[in-house]
Amino acid sequence: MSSGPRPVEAALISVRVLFEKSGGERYGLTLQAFELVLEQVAAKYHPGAGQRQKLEFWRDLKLEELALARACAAGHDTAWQAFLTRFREKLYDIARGITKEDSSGRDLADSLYADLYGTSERDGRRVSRLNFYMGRGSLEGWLRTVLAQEFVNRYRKTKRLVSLEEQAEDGVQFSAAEPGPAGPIDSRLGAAVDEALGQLEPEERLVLASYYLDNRTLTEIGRMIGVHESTISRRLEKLLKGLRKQVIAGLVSRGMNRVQAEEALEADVRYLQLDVTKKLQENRSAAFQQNKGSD
Amino acid sequence: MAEFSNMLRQRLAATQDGARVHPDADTLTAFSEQLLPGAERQQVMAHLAACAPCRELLALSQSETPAAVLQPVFKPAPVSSWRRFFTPAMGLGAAVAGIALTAVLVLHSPQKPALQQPEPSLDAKAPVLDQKPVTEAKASPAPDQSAASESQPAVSAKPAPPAVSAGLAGMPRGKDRVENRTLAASVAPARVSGNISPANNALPGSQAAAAPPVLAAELKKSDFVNTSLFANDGVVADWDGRSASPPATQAQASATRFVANANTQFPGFSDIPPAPAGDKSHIRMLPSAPPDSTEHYSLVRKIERSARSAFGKATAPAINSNTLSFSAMGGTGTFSADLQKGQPIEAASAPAKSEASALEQSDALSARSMSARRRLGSSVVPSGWKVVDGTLMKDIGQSWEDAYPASVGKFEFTFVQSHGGDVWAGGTQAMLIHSRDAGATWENVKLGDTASGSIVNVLFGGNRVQVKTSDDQAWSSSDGGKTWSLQPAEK
Repeated sequence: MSSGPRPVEAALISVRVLFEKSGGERYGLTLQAFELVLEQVAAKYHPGAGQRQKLEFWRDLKLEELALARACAAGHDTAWQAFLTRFREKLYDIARGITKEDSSGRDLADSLYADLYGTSERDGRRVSRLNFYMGRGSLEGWLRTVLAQEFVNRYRKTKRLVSLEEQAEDGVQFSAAEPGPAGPIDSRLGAAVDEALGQLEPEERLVLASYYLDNRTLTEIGRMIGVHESTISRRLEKLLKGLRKQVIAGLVSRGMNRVQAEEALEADVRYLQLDVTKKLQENRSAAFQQNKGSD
Repeated sequence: MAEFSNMLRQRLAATQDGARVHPDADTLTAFSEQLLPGAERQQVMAHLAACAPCRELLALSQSETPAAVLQPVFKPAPVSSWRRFFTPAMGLGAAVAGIALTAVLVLHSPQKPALQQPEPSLDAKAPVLDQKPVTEAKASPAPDQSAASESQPAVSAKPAPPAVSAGLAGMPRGKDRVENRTLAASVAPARVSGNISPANNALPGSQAAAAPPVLAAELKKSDFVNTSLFANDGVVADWDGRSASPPATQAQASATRFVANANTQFPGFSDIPPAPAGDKSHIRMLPSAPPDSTEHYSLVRKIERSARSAFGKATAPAINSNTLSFSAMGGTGTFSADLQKGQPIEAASAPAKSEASALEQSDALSARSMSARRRLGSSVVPSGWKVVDGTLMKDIGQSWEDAYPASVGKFEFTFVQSHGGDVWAGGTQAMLIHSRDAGATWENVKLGDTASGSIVNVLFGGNRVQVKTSDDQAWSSSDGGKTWSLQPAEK
């Protein structure tokens, strides 16, 4: 007969190993509390996963930082000391980097501190925002994302409060009316472009959208995806060439000859009936209302 | 093409679907740090391609200097074999070979004066010789020459053909030669050269302290001592042709140090940013070894040695990125205050011991280390290291393999730094390991008892090692990791 541990015991042993690896004990976290946290994370990202899958998933988490964040959320002083030592100055730096200004950066970081500590109460318990950290990425990266999100929310709030004087200064009242739909363009062109775009990989679409719609620099796009800016430059060039070929092929397959297809590609974009700015603004408001609710 | 771009812009905007469900901050962070599994990463990528707000959030949350884009392991850039023939080292090697050839001919024809024109058959080499005085004038100012000569009382001067013999005898011996030493040899001719008997090798500590016409007199606050110039790969030969670690020989070598202005141009020093105009900082270099006492080296052998030293590591930078990062502990691009101020004191207070004993006690260039380097020379050397998902990986040519399987289930690696065969890797729970032979064998390195957090950075050069942990602890060792001290936290 085998004398090895039974599956449940083996799982417990593994959770204990993960707990030791996280160093949660020095932040005042217990094994049981840590296990609950792990189960919560697994339930969010891998609902219904088996014990083995969960263990593999947990192993890839930033366990040390997860333990630190959850110990802070639970109000352990040792954890807060460690957190402040590691992230206090970093948070201010990140906030300054996002706002590009010292005082508003400090203000932004301070407001996040309040949220992290937990100023609101639910069922008589303090609710800390650190409870939402799941350990999939680094704690610093998470704080950075949360700060960026907070900054965008603030910006949107203040943007809504525009006085009439400011509107007058901006000349909103005197702006020309939106032009109506211009003359029709060959529908085959739009269909060919859409078809070519639809065949792109997600990463290629992301690069194109970041470059053409968001006006991001090559460096910024490179940082987002994790590659060098020169790679992005090469990819963009290659993408455009490939797309052009595909669109021309699409137009030819739709009954145009090659010369007509080339001419169609030089069509004035003003004839296309789309309002990019309006479209983006619509998406933005919907997205951030949703995002705000999720945290 | 511009119209086509505009059209793309319009149609791309049409694909922005304003999705209702967005990835949370954790998922976005993991995406940004490239920690998501492949399928999930593609999902997030597809969402980002269609969701402007999430792209905006992701872009805002990016660090100015992302660690993911920086490469922790530095590899020399691949250079084609043809390009090697056009490097400065090639010209330097040709010059040295020419000097060697001429010197031997001059030495072996005693009836002719040293400055006599070379044989007609050597006319082709004459232009190379003509360039030498220019190098001297640039690199070694006249006061330094006199100071150096005064500080070597034990040297029995042999003035006859000094300019040439120094260039010859300064050539490194032993297998592990680097360009630096060839360089030192090539700029050395201005100094007094001569034969040094083994009994006179060790300079007393008091002499080292008193030596500084070259040192202290020239050393101002803006000066820095390039201690790690030879510490990583550069092996400095002592008078007997053996290897000596630079820290151990600093006190003695300081007496004959060569002082070059920061603006002095050295071939192969492409890593060093040009000093701004008016910069008075200096780089001090160890001198070349004195001339060989035996003159029975054959002509062919000497030329062969010169050429080998010049071409052997033509592409290796004289100062690599590790050296610079080590020197930048006190701030980017600057040497720390300790290094700036402490060095003269260190040189003055160094114990008076012979170079032979310094050699024996030298850990960086111990027999084990040297044999490891020799092994590396003939075997496959991993050209790169990286940490993937907490696992230490090494490049074995076509693929990567787990370099330290013993870590599985115990701890995760977080950082690796390598230079040549010297590899330092750290992980969670302040775990640190070190290999001197490119990962063939590892030794556990124990930081202090209070060490905590994950290793986030390791800087090393010679015997000096500095380790930083995620708990903002900075541990440093000056004996290659045997003993460690916790540095006070930076304010």
